[in-house]
Amino acid sequence: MKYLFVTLIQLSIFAKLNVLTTTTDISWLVKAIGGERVKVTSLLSGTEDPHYVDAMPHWISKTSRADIVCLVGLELEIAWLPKVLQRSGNKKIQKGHKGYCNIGSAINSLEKVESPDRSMGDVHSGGNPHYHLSPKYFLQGASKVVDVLIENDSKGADIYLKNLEVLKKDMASLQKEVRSILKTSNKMSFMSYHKEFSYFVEEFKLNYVGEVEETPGVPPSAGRIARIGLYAKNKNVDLAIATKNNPEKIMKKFQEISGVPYKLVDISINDKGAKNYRELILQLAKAFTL
Amino acid sequence: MKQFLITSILLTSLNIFAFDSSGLKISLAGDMVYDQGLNSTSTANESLTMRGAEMMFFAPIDHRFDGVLSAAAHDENGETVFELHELYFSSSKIIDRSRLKVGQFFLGVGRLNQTHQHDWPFMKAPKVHSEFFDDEGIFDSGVEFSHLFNTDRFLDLTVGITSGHKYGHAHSSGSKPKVPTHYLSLKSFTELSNTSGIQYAFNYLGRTDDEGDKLHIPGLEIVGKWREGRAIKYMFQGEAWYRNVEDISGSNSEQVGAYLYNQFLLQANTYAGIRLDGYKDLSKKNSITGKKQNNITYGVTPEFTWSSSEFVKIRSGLAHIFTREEGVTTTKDTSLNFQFVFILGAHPAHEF
Amino acid sequence: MKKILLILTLFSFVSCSDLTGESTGANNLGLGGLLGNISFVEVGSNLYRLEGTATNGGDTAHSYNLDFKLGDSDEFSVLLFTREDLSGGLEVKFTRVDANTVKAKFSLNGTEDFVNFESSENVSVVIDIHNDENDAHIIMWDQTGPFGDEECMDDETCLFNTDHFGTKWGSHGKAAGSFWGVKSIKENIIKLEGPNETVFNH
Repeated sequence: MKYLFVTLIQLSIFAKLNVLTTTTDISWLVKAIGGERVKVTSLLSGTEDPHYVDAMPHWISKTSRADIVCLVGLELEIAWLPKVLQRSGNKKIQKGHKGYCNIGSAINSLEKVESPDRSMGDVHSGGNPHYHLSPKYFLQGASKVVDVLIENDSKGADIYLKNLEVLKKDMASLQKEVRSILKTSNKMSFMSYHKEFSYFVEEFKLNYVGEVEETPGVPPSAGRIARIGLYAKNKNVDLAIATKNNPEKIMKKFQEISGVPYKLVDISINDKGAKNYRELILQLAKAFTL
Repeated sequence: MKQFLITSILLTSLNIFAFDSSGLKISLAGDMVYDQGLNSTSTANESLTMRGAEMMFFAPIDHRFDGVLSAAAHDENGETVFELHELYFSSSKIIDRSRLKVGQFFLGVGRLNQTHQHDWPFMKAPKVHSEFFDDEGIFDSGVEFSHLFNTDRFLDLTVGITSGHKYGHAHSSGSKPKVPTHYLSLKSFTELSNTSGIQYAFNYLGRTDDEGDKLHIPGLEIVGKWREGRAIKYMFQGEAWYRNVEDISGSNSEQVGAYLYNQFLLQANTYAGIRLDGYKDLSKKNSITGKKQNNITYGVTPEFTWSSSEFVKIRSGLAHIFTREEGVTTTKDTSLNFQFVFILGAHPAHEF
Repeated sequence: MKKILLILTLFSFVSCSDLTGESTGANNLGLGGLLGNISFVEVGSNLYRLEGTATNGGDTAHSYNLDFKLGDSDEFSVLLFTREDLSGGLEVKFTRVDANTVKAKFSLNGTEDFVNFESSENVSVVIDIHNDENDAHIIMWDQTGPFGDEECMDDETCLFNTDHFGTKWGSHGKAAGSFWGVKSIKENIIKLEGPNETVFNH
């Protein structure tokens, strides 16, 4: 509700911008900035793995009516989104046009890979795409949202900019809350199943040791689980974190071998778990504590 | 084959800056098969065949148009034959909710005809597909237009008209037909969850060749996918087609055929599938008695697929195809089949 | 429920025997004569339609073995992939040039070509017709071989090949039907076989 502002009389006859996002997290960000001037829908519901979906026909229909499409970028949606955009026949939202909002392009991304090849597994040349799990990095993306909204609706510029300021304040307050939760965590060491938490770890200066996966996106072999389990045990790793999309069977096996407990977290905002961004980040912060 | 290799080398040695600024993407796909006959009348060739090596180039041409070039080298009876599959430019940025394609391309009709063979969910073409659309599919040069209707339900219509000088396997340039090849495909979709659903379409293809023979092929297609997490837990795909060729003398030749493929996830990266094929020549007559000969061809093809990733597939399966005519089994072909598919470079985003 | 009923209704148009390919008696020829070891029906003067229908409405490929006598003034024609009245197909007409040479004239959809080949009085050839290609691909060999394939004119391993650069054949289309027959005096016919699997497989 904080992000709703008293609107001008013109708002009653203003048609809201129809914004489609790929993930629920981007959807939350766009709503935070756009307020009442936008109608936001997410193609994904927050429980899917964005790497592994098809170009669903019902998404194509939705995309055909959108004014703006906002995506995570950094090749996260590369397997399906280009086909959705192309089949929609909606020229406004095609790459290079004013309705195309690639949030990843505004991020100072981590873990860029210079010359990726497929032997490295699922690596993103432009950087790790899971920046939304860090308030600091997610806020970088907000500037892109503001730019695109203003370009499509210049009359709302004041509102978008005001909402951005409110968002910054709220993020600062959230960061403070997270730091408070993590005050004893800087003495701990952590692992994860997949490299999803790099931005969170970097922002809050956590001691991160490595991943259970040997090759990103490839389920680890039994040999790998044994080796990494022993490594974690020897390094006295305190905790492992995985998302609810990651295979829990593997985390259980890892725990058996290493003795390191694990916690599962939501990767995105969703109806069944973390229902907004604050809940998502606080859930993650609490997961990094014992 | 030399031509294919020289072209590949030349194109892949292009200045790296040309790649970066133009967005040119290259995809190379290799498809190898081995068939081992298990009965004396099997037609399996019992050698590892390089069934297809396809290279595909695609990129935006400018802010309005995209371009595609795909060419393939195939093994034809021990000889490698190089052919251009697709060369077209397209746009989805000119007319709202519409796509336009001009050039040479696989016709936008039918499920398999629009999918490159190395992307098929099974090893071999179903009988109805190889009889009506040639083993790999029908491609031709012309124009194709697609429009997505402004409805809540996904409803997409594709219509196309192509030269029709050739249809199917050809060693010559063909002749101008009396009516060029024309087709349509009307697709819709029912969602079962956010990432699962069933897509279905009505298709039609027609042509009148230069001799005046009229070809009509209407058909239906259906594909359903249930996704759980990263994997497609269950998938089915089927097509049913009817063909009518009306001769200039007025006589009709009719055939029908269908296939249904079911695939189940066994465990991570491993799938089991089974395909059932049926095919019937409705107008086959005994040349002496003049009576219609009752005939049917069946195929049963169970297969296993292991995917190291979406870029590699290894398949093994059994194919049992037999034809019965007037109470007698006339042909029987049982074989063990293997397929190896890999993709290098970029790969276009997947359809549903 | 409605959908199940609709599907069942559609199935009711198809009988069990249709799905199992059971006998309807269509192939019961009774006690008829044989010509060249094959059943036949006389459809005109010295014109016979033979047993054996090409599959798939004629959109297929078969081979035919022909053994016949050809004297000085004799003519023997085989008509392949024709309509029921033996029109519209490929006609191959054999005539004698001299004691050791036979001329085979190929005609399909207005395109004609011929080849002379060595043969004694008894002619023995096998003809492939791939009518499932955009333009029917026709190859003829001596039954005793050699059997070459697409390059077979250059390396002299066949008698005739429409795919050979030197022929007049280009875009000639397909043969119209699925029947076959011969035009000849009966006494000259030794043995006829077909439709068989092709000699050359694409």
